[in-house]
Amino acid sequence: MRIHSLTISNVRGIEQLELAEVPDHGVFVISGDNEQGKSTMLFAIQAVLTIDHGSQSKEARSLKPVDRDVAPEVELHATIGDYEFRIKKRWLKTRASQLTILAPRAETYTGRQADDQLKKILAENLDTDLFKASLLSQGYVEPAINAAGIPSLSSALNSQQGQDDGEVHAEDSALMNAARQRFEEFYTPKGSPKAALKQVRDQAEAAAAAHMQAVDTARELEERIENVGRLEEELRRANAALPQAEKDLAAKREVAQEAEATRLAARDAAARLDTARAEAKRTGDAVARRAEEKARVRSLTQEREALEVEAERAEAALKEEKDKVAQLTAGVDEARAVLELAKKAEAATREAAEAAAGVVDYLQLKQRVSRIVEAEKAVAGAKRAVPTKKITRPQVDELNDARQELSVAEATAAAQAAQLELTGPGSVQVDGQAVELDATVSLHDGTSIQIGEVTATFRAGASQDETATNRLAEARRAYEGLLSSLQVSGVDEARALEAETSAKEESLRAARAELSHLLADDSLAELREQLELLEATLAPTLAQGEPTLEGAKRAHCAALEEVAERKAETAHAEEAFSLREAELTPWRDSRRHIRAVEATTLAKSKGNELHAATQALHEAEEALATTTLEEQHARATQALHEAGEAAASAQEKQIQADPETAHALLAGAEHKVQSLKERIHSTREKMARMEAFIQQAEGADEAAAIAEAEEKAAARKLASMERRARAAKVLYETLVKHRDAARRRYAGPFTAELTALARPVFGADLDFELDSDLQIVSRAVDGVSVDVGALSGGAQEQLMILSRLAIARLAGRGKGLPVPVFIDDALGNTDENRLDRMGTVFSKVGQEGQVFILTCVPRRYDSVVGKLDYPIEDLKKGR
Amino acid sequence: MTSIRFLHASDLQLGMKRHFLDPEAHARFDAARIETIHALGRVARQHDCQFIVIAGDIFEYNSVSAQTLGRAAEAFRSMRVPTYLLPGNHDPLVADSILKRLVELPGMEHLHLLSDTAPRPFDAGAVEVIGAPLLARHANRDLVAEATHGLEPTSIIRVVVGHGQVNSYGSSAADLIELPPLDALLNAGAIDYVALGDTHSTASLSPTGKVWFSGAPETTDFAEEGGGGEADSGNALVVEITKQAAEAAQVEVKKVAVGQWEFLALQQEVHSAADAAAFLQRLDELPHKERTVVKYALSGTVGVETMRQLEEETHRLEPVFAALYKRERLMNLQVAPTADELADLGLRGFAAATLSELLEAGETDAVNLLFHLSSTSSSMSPTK
Repeated sequence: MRIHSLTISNVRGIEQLELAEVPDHGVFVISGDNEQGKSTMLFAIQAVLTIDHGSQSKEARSLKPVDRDVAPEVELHATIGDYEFRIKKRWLKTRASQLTILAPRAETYTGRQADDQLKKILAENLDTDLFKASLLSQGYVEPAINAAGIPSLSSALNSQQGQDDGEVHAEDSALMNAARQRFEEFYTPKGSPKAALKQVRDQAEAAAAAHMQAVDTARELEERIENVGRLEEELRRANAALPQAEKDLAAKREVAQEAEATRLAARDAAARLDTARAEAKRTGDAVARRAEEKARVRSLTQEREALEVEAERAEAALKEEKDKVAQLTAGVDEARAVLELAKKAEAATREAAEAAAGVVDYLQLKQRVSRIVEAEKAVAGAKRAVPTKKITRPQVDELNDARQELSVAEATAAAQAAQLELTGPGSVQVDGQAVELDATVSLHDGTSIQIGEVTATFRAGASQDETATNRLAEARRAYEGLLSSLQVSGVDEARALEAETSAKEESLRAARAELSHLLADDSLAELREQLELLEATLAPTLAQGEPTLEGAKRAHCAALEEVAERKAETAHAEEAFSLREAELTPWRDSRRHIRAVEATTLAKSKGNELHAATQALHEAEEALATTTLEEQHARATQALHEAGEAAASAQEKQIQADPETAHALLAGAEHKVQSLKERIHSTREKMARMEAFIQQAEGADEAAAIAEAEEKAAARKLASMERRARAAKVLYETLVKHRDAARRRYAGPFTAELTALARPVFGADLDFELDSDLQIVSRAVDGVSVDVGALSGGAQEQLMILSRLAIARLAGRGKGLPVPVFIDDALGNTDENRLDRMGTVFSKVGQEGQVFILTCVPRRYDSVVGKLDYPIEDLKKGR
Repeated sequence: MTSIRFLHASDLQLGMKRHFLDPEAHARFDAARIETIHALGRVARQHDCQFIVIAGDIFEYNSVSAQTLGRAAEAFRSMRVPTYLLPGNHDPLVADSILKRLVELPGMEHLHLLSDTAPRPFDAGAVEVIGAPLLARHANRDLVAEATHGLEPTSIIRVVVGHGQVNSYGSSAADLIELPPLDALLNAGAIDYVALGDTHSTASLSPTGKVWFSGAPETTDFAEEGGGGEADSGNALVVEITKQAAEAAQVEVKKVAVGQWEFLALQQEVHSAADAAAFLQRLDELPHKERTVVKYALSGTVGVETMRQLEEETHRLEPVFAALYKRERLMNLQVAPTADELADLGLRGFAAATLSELLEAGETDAVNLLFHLSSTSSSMSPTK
């Protein structure tokens, strides 16, 4: 930014001032005494650039001269970025605004449009905040700007103006502090709600809970009331139903009583019927008994008569029996005697027969023994007759077979052998055997034929068949072997010998069989003992001469016949005896005697019984005649009939009355009345309980309404507090957010600019430490760090100017030209040496842009190269 | 000819609680409701009324506090005018009936509880009061129709007392009171006046002019601007009936104001300082602020200064009124600082960025606070 000219009319103490034809760069020292309007110049530049012409703000109003009612007016000709323009503003009374853009394109705006267009140009080409900061001058610190602007920078700018650092800082942070204080009314630094807020929240919650509880109580009360309503209805119904139920009960009771009467009547009638039935039965029984008694007497009479006849008959039979038994007993005795005689005779004959048999036995045994002796002798003879040399039939057969084999072998050999036919008379010896001629001799190796004296032996050639020859030799060897073993000469001898042996052995066997037959199972010794015993026994008989066996046998037969005869007689006698016994036996076992006694006794007993019965009947008749009895019975029967009808009638009535049902209905009616009474009672009890509760809960609805009102009040209080808390929080957090962003934006560049500018003053090895608010905390020169507060007043004011210069350079950086820097009377505490050093800094900055120094002591800047002096009085006069 | 004059009231709602009243105001509100009983007695005597009918909701609930019952009882006892009390839906004749308890207290011989529909003879039978009491919290049928069923034209003056909403266009809810049949009975001379309660604004309901809601004698709710809400409460009706024979009677009804409190619901657009001043002036001019409740809703956009003025002035008036509060639901007043205000404030740097963001986000409270803090912190400035 470049200021080309400035015209001020009626602004504060300046009636008219003109700064014209200002060079594009350089250091311009505007000098004058105090209160000549130096600061007003600064303010006028700021006002024309930033205060709308229509503003009624304090700033705008502060432009006006104190003592005159005129419109303040400022006109500025400047270049910002690509724009060269003239802006002229008049405030308050005859407010007006005109913006004349000269470059890059000529345009003119007036009024609000002029203000807006100017703002736009500034916004495009300046960091307005920094620009405003750079305009700040001594004694004029707009508190709002100070507080809400860039505290550290404005502090830095002012720190050399002799103001207390802490105070300035407090001012800078006033808005932040106020916002933080407001925030901390409700929240902890970390953002948690504080006790006051929590307390109000708790109160709201407690009020809500209390309201809910009160509503519950009221609702419970309402339920009870509704219950009471229902109970009242129930009670009303029960009370209404009770009279009718009681009436029903009375009626049912009457019906039941009547029914009960019919039941009792029926029971009585039934009892009477039973009595009548008993009486009828009793009289009937009496009549029947009387008739029975009479019948019994009759029956007894008859029985007794029958028994008497029976008794007589029994007596007669008994007599007859006694006679018969005597007769039969005699017969039996006689037969028994006959039998005894017969038995004795039979025994005698039997003894004789036995004796005869003994003789026969003796004789027979004697004969047997003698035969056995003979047989033993025969066996011994036969045994001796059997040859010692024995040939059996198989042996004969074997020999015969061997002879045949030999014959076959000879024939075979002959057939195969050479044949020598011999003719002639006589015979020849062939192999020792005489052979009649004519004959054909078979020749075998070794066959010798003797003819006469001549013996010819045949020797077979090599072609002779050996098989036939061998067979023949074998057969002959076997045959001759057998002959040798059997000690026979040939088959015929063997056969004859075998026949003889066989015949002798047969005889021996026959003899042995005879002996065996005779002995049977006995031994000869035993038989001889028996014989001796018999002989001893029969000695007397045998003494009379020993009979022959045949005679003995005949005698025995005769004895046996005698025995048979006697036996027949005995049997006859036994039969006769048995017959007699049989005839007697029935009589012997007869009970006629007993029967006769019994019959008599019975007849007598029956007579007694009859007597008693007759007597009893008689007595009964005398006591109560049968006719009377019958009359009684007739009457009783009639009474029974009547009682039966009465009972049936009573029963019918009972059925009609149905006492059981009547009683059941009565019970039901009683139960109903009872139930109703109980219900009334229990309902009243329940109602009493409910009413007690209702009484206790008095005021519940109103309490609920109060609780509701309190809940709403608490909620309102909470809402109000939360709203305030929220506003505080939103404001504080937004402020912090933007402040931090501003810090981030300025911190680095500012330090760099400051250090670069300050090196000519403090030395090359220079460093600054800034705090979080961009406040310069300390300055380090050649590695020695000194707190800003500990620096000399001169150093501090130098730092302030350097800061402002740094800000001014920052304000235009990257957006065009540097902004003009206004230094409002400074360096009062700076020594000559430092003044010179500062002069070089001003010179350097003046080479790049415009530096306006407002001072009442212009000599302080004598060392600034190329400076221009503008006494303010001259400017006011328009020089 | 028979003639009678009586007072018709209803809906005293004794014991009613209003959450927007602070304890001090509420105590006066409670007292004012009790005072209504005295007021009815006074009005009745002033107008030579022979009796009073109160058509239901004498109490806000059956289960009121001992304080409410005790103070109401004191007032009723001193009233000394024969009074017929009808159980309404707020004080139905159920187990804990507050009216039953009230009339059973000593010294209440002049109070008559209309506990059933049996006619209560007055003036030696020349007049009959017939009640249609609520025997449960909610009616499920037209109780007035039931109470008047079968009534024949008579020379006796019959006053029917009922409670509930009416319907003259064909019933949909079972408990609505059917008006046409009542008109027929009124025209025939079977009944002569129907004193109704339930609606808290005074209203004539029939072309006969003989069926009325008396309205609550003391305000219970807000009257909306333009007629909504409780538009005409705070009244009682003096009713005069003249009857020649068994035919339609002559009835005159006169509304008498008895209430003291006023509840206003205001809505206003505020776009300028002048609008705000008008609103504040309106508030200022309201009489009897100590027994007036105002809830207001402002909409529009104003500058910071206007907003501040509104806040300050309403804040000043709040303790003067019984209650003065915003209808948060309907409030829509935005703050938009004017250019001058912004310039005055002179915010720069991050503070200016903060303001811009808050304005854009519609954070009115935070903007207001920022203005407030800026002005107070600048006023602390030692350099100013």
